[in-house]
Amino acid sequence: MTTTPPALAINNLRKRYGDVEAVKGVSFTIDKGDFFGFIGPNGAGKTTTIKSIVGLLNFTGTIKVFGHDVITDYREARRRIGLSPQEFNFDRFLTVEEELSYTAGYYGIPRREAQRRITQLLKRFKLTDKRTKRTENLSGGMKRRAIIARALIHEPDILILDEPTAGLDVELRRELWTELSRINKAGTTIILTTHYIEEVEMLCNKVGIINKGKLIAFDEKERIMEELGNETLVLHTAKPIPKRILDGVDAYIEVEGKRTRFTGKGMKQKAKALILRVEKSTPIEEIDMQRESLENIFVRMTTEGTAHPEGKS
Amino acid sequence: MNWVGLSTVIHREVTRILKVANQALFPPVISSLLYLAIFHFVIGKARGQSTEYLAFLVPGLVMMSVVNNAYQNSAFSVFIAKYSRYLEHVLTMPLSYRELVLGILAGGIVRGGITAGSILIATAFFVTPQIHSIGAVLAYFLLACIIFGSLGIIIALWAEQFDHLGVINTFVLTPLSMLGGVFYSISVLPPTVQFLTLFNPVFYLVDGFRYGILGSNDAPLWLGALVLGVLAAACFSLTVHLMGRGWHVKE
Ligand SMILES: Nc1ncnc2c1ncn2[C@@H]1O[C@H](COP(=O)(O)OP(=O)(O)OP(=O)(O)O)[C@@H](O)[C@H]1O
Ligand SMILES: [Mg+2]
Repeated sequence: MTTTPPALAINNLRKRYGDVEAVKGVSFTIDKGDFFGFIGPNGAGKTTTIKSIVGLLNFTGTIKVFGHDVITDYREARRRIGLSPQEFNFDRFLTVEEELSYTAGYYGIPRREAQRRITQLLKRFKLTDKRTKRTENLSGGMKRRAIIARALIHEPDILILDEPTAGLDVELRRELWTELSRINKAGTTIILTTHYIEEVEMLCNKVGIINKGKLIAFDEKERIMEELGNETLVLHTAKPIPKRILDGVDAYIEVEGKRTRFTGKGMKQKAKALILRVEKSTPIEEIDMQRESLENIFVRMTTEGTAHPEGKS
Repeated sequence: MNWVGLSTVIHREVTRILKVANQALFPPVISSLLYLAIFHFVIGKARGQSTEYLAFLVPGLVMMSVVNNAYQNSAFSVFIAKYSRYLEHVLTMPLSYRELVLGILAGGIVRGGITAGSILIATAFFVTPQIHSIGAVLAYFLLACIIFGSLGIIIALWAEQFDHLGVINTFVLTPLSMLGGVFYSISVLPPTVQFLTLFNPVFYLVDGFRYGILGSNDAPLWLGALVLGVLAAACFSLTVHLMGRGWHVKE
């Protein structure tokens, strides 16, 4: 039995610009079919990592795409990658159609097949009526869709999207989510960077958090949310819970009259004992269990001085 | 070899040139005709040997324009692509760096062909057209396109502003052309200057091309062929290497 290589394997990636070390030894592996959310604050090193994968930067470390080294076996690696870069890089003298058809050509797709795919992609991305317009004259949102369509022209095995939803209106953003889910379900591995963390929570199965050039979290999204996220038990009681009951409870506690919130790690497991303890003194009317959003976890992990509870009061 | 990819690079280059075909056509034709007119009226008539001199002049003028066009074409094409970031897109494509450079050079060859052809046609009205060896004409034409097209790519990768492209034109190409035996046979030069001319690649291009047209040459043909062959191979390999390294493009 042959084991198929991972879609993307990054090993000890380092990149220095002058005296700024933008990426400081990042390693991770993405499996085929993953939808990977790569998140981090501005300047964390996301684009630097992506540019290294596609061959636009000199770096140290090794990067393999489906087993093909991106330096020594660059043509095979690049055949598999579709890239939608953060900054537009169209030929400003070309129309949308020409832009896509030249790109198809670079990938070695014969003309007739390219035309078929272009028609299809323009339809999918609602650009059919912009077919003969120059890319320069498109709106920001249209350019974004055009560049994603261009990244899909060769039906890549791994689609890399650097902030694809930046500058899209709400409706277009939702349409793109649907489109990306479909592409991923059809078997394409996707790497997505974005500053909208809720997109990652909704779409991705794997999450990496990068901060100041270091990968500070990397796992299945569910595990990250379970292990790094806090849970909050909300109790609505008939009257405020007496202070002596709350003292000594191992949680961050917020009291708003008859509603009390207990936040901490593993609150789900602790909930039963806590409920029993409260019930002895105060009747409980409603119990609610909340999970911390990925966005909250992200903000907590990437900002110094915790604005949010760390599990203890 | 990614044939569809290579032909796509060529297609894009050629389409780009055809959009600005008048630039490849009119300026070189007009300047060549002006040279012919000036030398005919001022020098030629005085010495009473105009016809012979004009025939001598034509291949040099053609080669001078070919050198210029080959350089300009790849320099502008690559610089504009670099400036608009399109070069970054192309550099993420599964094209080998050799295919990429070949494709860009092919554009220069087409543009040089338009230029050379139109000068030859335009001057045919004043000088009896002739071709001594079509093989030599094509060979020296291609060598010029490879050497100066490669130089154009290298300069475009290096350049940070448009002005930088012109600097090479003014300080390298023009002097090399003017001193490259376009307007005179080097046999009229003092021995030291004659010797120095042997280090000027444009001289060999002009000399070889003139042989192809008229059948006469100043330097031994084997020497020119050797110098130009080695230079073309070196320029091409260096360009492919620098493109692969992403010289001044990749950080
Ligand atoms: N060309 C460059 N020259 C010098 N420094 C750079 C260059 N590109 C990026 N950097 C620096 O490297 C660091 C990482 O930048 P990068 O673009 O990878 O961040 P990012 O995570 O993509 O941020 P954003 O979310 O803002 O796009 C930053 O400190 C940035 O200033
Ligand atoms: Mg970025």
